[in-house]
Amino acid sequence: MPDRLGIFLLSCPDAEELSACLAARWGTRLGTIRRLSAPPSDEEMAEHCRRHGLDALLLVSDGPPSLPPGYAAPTWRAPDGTRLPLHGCPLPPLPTGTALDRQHAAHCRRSELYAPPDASPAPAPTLEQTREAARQARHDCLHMAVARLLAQQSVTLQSAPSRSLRLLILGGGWTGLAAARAAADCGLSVLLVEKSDALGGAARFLPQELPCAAPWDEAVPLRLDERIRAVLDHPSVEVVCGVRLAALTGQPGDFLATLSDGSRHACGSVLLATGWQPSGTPVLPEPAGHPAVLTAWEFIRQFRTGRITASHILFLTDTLALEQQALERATEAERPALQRRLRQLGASHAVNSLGMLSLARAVAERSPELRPASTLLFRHMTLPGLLERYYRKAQAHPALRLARGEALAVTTEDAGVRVRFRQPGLGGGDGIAELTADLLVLPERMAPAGEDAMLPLSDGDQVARLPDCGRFDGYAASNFICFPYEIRRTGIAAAGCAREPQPLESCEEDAQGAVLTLLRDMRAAAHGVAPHPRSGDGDCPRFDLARCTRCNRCVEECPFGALEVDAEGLPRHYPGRCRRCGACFGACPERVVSLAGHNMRMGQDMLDAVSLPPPDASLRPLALVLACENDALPALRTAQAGQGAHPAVRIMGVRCLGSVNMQWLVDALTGHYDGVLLLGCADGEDAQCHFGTGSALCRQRLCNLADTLRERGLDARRVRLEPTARDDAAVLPERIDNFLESLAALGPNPFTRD
Amino acid sequence: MAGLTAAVEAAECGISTHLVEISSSLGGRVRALASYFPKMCPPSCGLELLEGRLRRHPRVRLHLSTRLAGYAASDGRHELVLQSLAPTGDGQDEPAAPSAIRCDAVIVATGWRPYPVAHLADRGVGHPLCLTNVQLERLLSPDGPTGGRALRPDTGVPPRRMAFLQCAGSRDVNHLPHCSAVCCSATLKHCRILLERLPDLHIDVYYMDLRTPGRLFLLREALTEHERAGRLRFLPARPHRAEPDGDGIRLPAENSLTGERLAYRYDLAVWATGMRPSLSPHDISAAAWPNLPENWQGQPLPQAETLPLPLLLDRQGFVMESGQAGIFAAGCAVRPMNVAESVRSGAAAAMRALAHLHRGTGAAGTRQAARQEGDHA
Repeated sequence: MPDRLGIFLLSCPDAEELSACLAARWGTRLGTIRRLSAPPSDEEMAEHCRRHGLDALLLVSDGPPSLPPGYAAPTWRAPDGTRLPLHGCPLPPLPTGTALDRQHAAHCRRSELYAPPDASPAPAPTLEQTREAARQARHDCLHMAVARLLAQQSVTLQSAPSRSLRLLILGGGWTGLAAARAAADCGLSVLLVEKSDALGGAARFLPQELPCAAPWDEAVPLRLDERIRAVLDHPSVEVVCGVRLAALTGQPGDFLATLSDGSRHACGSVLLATGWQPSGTPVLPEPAGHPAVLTAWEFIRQFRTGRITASHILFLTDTLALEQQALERATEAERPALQRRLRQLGASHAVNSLGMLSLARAVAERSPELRPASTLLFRHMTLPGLLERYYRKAQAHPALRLARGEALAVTTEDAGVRVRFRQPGLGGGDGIAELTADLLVLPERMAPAGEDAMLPLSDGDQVARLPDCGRFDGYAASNFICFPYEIRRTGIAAAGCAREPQPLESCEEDAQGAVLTLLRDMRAAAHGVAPHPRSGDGDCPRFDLARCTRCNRCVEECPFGALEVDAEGLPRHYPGRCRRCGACFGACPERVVSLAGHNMRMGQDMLDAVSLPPPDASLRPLALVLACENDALPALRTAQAGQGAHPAVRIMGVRCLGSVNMQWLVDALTGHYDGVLLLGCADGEDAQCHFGTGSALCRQRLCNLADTLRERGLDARRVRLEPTARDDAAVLPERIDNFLESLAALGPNPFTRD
Repeated sequence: MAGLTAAVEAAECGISTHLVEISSSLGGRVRALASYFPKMCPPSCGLELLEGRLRRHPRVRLHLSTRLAGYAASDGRHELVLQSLAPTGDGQDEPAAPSAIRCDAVIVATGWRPYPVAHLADRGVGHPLCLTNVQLERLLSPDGPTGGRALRPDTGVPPRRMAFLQCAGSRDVNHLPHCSAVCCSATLKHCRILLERLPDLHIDVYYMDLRTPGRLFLLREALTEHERAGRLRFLPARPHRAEPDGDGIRLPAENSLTGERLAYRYDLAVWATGMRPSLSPHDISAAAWPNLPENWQGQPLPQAETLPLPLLLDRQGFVMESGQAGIFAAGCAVRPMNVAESVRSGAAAAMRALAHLHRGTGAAGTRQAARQEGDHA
């Protein structure tokens, strides 16, 4: 823990007052207080610490946007032994972060205008009193930041034993091959495992030419054989066919993969490129099995072997209306599974559009005497972006007929198939038409391989269990738009159609992006730091196992599967998998878990650092705000920009709402706060939490806390969780005021009367 | 977004990285968006995390308000001349002295610009009740001019009837021959937001195809309720122009099956203007481009010297990456794509750049391939 602390006050107008108040509160533990007009460089800060024998430095900045002191920035600079934990405030942001912030500020309620509602038993405060309270709040902010810094323990980096930088790729299809190539080109060693006997995956059966490269107007040869050859010939790639992954243990940089042939391989990270499997259409029970009805996949295989003899082929890309009919006929019990299959088919639409248009063109380009008449019936031609060029050329093709319409009914006849469809028209002027053909080709549902093959291993295996698959219809998709490879397992990523049905060129790009993410994860693990979102943070949870009651709540609640139960029933922590969210600290009822920069003592010191107004003060109620530092704290910062601190709240940033230990809440409420407001990302179906489940965990714990509070005579409404997004800055002051109003209605905290 | 992702991920893989951005803030066009589809989450949240990761990483040098002023290839490396556009602060108009950096690989992530609506003036786009989708995005954003409320620009009241016109400029040989890839999803997102916020609103969407690749299909699923309730219609037509009609506008269109002409009246029309690469020429529409030969490919456009790099551009100004010279491209500079695809594209380009560095430095150097800091010219 730091003994002597230095403080830099950056362009604070009331620097003198702050210096005096800090010196009075912290005495000899404060080494220096400096006033600066410009942000110091890293070197200046290091030099200052050396010269004055300081252990830590707190940067306090003012002016728009004002940073709430107490925001601890993780640092990349620990391992070299310099005792310079540059925690505390980060440097004030350069102008970039503020362009939006200033706009937000215009919507923000001015804190000087804050006055408790009439329901408050105390008389309304005068302007003088409010100003005094605001000044007090500002001082308390600083005191909390100092307390946080003084309770900061030194970080011992726990790097995962980096035994292997080898990349294990599951699936030797288009995506797996591209990933192997990309990784090997970067000097990584690769083990490529393919469950079938040959490489190439689904691409082996695709048309040999597809529009998958610039300039996007013509089909170009896939050259799959060349790609396979390049991978097989690469000296750093080992290929094993005919086997599957049977078990996976360990952590990034130190995984041990057991294959179905019994062989064991050390690897540093795992890429799921398990692709998709043709799963037919979910509906159309009647014609299925009829010789005149094929799915696109069956058609390709027959077409490539020259077994198609039909003289008129109808390609149908959109079956949505038919599916809806089937869904309405389905029983309640059948419905969820059918809906999942329908969503998988919907997600495959772009690939089906491109594939069936290419097939129809391939048919149309046969020599005239062999050529069957071919029609493509579609509702929406999903060829986005530059593929429009290919579509345009196909439209001009003389032997290809394109018809727009929505299939309403498919009936099979002796000699073929009849499709009745609606031609969309403006203003209810739809037309109904019919097409007949001797062969109907239906779109293919690209289900993730084996439906549950996303989980190549058993459910009990913490590291390999991809927790969100079920929410994304079986695909290993990420919950986040801006972080597509974050699937809550460090060192494991998914790419290609295992992640989302997508065409070949996207699969290749996806493979490259996923390999980069895995390289980053392995690197972070080797350095003993976390990857996204707390990248560079070396602060791992520590477990005082002597006091552990083996309740295993931490194991169950870790969003990243970083904890497992060992043979003795105790939690075992894998630092390489850990993202430092602190959920284990929040979960532990026995104070077994602590982090250097996030522990019980730190929270309590911060709560105690505040000089609480007397219970009868006119500025009661007083609330503690625990804000998630990913979204809620920046939103608060924006809302506060240029406004100063809210006089009736004390803000404490936390890693995630999941990292809030309920003991802090009990301490706050029995320690004279009137209420606690928790601000964090949304939970539930569309969870925003960057650690996956933090907010949901917190909500669950609050349910359990209610009883504890009631036993102590406290109303559970004194604690509230408000989902807060990064762009909620404009409504935050109102939300805080609403909470304070509800606290005022509840009356003073009974503990403040004692 | 593509450039930011590439810079962050490359740095965290151990590569010294310079990020050069011409504007004064990071995030590009994404920063001005209201929300991402299909999750409807705010862009500021991911940007906050990415910026945080970028700023605390010691291997990243950030050059904001900086323009690429010169380029020279030397000895398999690239020498870039950077010109700061920021005021020097001494009250003089003198621009700061340019600086030079040397690096082993360059990623171009110059993004896109909205197609200028001025080129669609003959369709009545200039009418005050006609917005573009980019403008609507700002209106729906909590930090936009109306605090996130969609209001008629003339009266300031919420609209009762709105129309979306897809492919305004896109998929049109006289304007942008390509599809802009994101407008369908963006419009469906707008419909969802607006129908939820304004209970009295009715929306018509004029379209050719609704293109929602992959899991964006869910955007359509989310709207079926509104469609059933009759508050949302998808009309397969392409109105020729907007005409004033009382205090609203009229959109005459033709039923392509029957030839019947119809004109519905609206309070507000939103044109889904397309996306064109930033590297395409500034002020001329595709129709007015020099008549290039049919086999014209891969020659720098005459106007493209805004970015002095040896790039191969296609007819619309999209970069055709060769990767040979150690120059890579990502995001909408390559083809129209949405945010999730841009992120993927940025990471993939960083990966290719990493492989290029590896080829240049040998097996030992991959993760230590530090780039030399430039001298100040």
